[in-house]
Amino acid sequence: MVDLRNSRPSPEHQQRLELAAGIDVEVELDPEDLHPSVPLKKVPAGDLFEAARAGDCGRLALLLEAGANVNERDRWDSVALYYACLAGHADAARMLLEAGAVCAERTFDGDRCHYAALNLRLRRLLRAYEARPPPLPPLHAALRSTFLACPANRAAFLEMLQWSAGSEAAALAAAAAAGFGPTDNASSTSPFPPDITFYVDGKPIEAHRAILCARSSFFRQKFKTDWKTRKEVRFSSQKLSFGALYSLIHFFYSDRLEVDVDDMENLARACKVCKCVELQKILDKEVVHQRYAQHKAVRQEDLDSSQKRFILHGQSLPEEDRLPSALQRILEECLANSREQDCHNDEPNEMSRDSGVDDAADLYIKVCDKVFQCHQVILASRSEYFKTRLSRNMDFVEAKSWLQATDNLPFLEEHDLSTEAFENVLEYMYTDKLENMDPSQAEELFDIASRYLLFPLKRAVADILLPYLEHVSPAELCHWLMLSDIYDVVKIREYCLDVIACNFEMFADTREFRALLLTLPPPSGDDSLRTTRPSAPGTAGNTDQGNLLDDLREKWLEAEAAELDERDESAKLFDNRLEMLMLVAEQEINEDDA
Amino acid sequence: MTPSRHYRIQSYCFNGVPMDAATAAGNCKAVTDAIRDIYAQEDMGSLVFEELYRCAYNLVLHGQGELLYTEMEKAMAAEVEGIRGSLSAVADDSGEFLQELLSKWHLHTKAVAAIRDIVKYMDRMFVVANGKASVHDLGVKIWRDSVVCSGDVMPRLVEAVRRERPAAEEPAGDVMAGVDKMLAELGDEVHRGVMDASSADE
Repeated sequence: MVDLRNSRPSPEHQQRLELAAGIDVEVELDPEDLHPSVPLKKVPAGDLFEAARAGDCGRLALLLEAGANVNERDRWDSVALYYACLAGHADAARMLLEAGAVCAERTFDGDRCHYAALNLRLRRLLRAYEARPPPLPPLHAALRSTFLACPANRAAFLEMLQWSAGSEAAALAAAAAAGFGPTDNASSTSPFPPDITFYVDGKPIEAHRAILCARSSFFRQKFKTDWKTRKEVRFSSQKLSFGALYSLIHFFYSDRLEVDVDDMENLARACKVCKCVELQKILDKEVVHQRYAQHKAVRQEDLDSSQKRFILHGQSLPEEDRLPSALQRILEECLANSREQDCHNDEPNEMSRDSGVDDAADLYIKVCDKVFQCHQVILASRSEYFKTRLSRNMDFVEAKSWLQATDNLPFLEEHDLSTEAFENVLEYMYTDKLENMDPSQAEELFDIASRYLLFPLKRAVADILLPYLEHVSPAELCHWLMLSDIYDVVKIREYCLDVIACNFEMFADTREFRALLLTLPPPSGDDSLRTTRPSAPGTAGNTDQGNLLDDLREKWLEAEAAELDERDESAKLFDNRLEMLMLVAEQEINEDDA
Repeated sequence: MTPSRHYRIQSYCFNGVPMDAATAAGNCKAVTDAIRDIYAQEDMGSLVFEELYRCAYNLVLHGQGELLYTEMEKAMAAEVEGIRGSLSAVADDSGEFLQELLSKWHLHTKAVAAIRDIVKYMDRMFVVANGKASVHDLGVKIWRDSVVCSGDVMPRLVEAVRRERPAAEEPAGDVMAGVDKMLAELGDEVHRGVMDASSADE
């Protein structure tokens, strides 16, 4: 007898599995850790620090959701993670770490967390997250890998990792290097080529103008004037160090600053020049702090001060100084400059140039009759489709229209999509946000997201679509189920299946549902093992996921079926019901034809 | 400048009916024709990337990935077979054979890269989900099995390498370096096999 209940792990269990798989290092939490002997105190009005200290995960989640900065220090120089570690709340600590709390052992805050950790399990948790930090948001991750894919940056990055981590974590460096996935395989992805190279102390840093301009008015000014035609810029000033500029530019791409403590003063000066006011303020404060923080370090003997680092996440800065806002600004300029048709005439171009707005756009994309100005580096970083198309444009027929625009900028044409949808896609590519989406566009956006290989967009659309689905008719829900199955949008697919399984009789009465059954590949074979047997590769339908009807049966069994050995009978019952419905559907079609 | 060819991108609207065989075959043909063109002419002047990408994308999206994959494999194999035929017409003497082999190899790798870009959606989704060989690997495999390791190329290659092989201390010439690189890419086994065979009875 097969106990079918085991074939589907509970969501909770699944989540834990995913977590364990995600960080790779086994950090099992004993049930005892989860339910301490002393009941946890709730702190309904507490701030982040109080909630962490009390281990009140509900409150913590609320605060983090509301956008609290997890890396903030209180007046005793402590971060929330420190209190969670000190009090031994593994759950709270994990929550903070997931939210991006700094835990690197060689930072001031991370060091204190390690020192204060109640037990070894907490320390292991800290190490696990240092080795495998939670993923960056898709926008940051994409731009960061574009930056690090440039050969010079990559080499510098690996060198720094090895140097700062020492022998202890040479493996970590290798893991981090492997973390860029396809970039290792040089044949499959070429980096998007940088258009400017800086040399400090003779060492190169490669970058893209569009990003630098978006983040700093200093670079914007320079690229408009002195450096307009330059391919490389050499700095010989003693006041600028390689490490400082490298970490600043890395920060521009990823909103994550990691710098040697020794380079901090230097970096603060660079920020002043680049007019990154808020970042400079934080750095100035931190320089002072570090000066007096020495005596608080735990193991000074083996922690050479030159190896100490300072890590800052974008969330410590005000909203308008973060990456998405910066890109939002250039996107707005781009959209304002994007015109209706007539792009080939010189006139509008002249106008946009005269107006003095310089968004440094380096790509025109024509959709329907509107021409959008965009930035190659952002599109190429976000979408592999555009990366390929931009690198191929000389080979394929586009080469002919390449120079049509007056200022020799590349000009692509995208067919068969609406301008509204493309505007949404642009917004998402620049800012990770999707604000003006109408549910009626969801279908088109799913298609674009798949085609452009911009998979995170599907999740974003699904999040907006879900509340809307609560009010649609059964017939429409069938449509969405079909779509989500084709475009592989797990969230919507699961939701539709759940609703259908729980209201099966209502759907059985819906004509659209019966018609849908006919178009689906039939559920897999008859034996009782079918639910645990993986479907053979190469069978009909989308093979990268389960059979839709099989999954529906699972859901239905979960909701309706009897226990244990009677479960198989329930399954048979369900199959018979499906067959009957299909017969009805066939009849209906025949009647229509007659 | 020639007026740009008028073309229409066919969008495949989903209406609950799986893609019919005729449409699927048509899309497939567009891709295989493009593969032929890519091998035939290096500038690919008549191909429209967006159109081809869309064809391949629609096929995979509607469960025809298997069809596309096998058709693509067949088309690539046929082209490579043609290359092998043309190689047998090249004279054996001097370095001409190696040079020709190398230039065809470069043509092939360039073509495979272009094909991979066209069927990128398949390469990312279908190939991964079904554990097939990626387009790049497939290109290498076809070249290895039907050119380098084939009955009529292998002996000539070994012979040519033996003749051209530099003396122990000398740096290798351009052609030899290229051949070395190609063999290395085809895998250790082939590389070692050729090198061993060519130095066996010296």
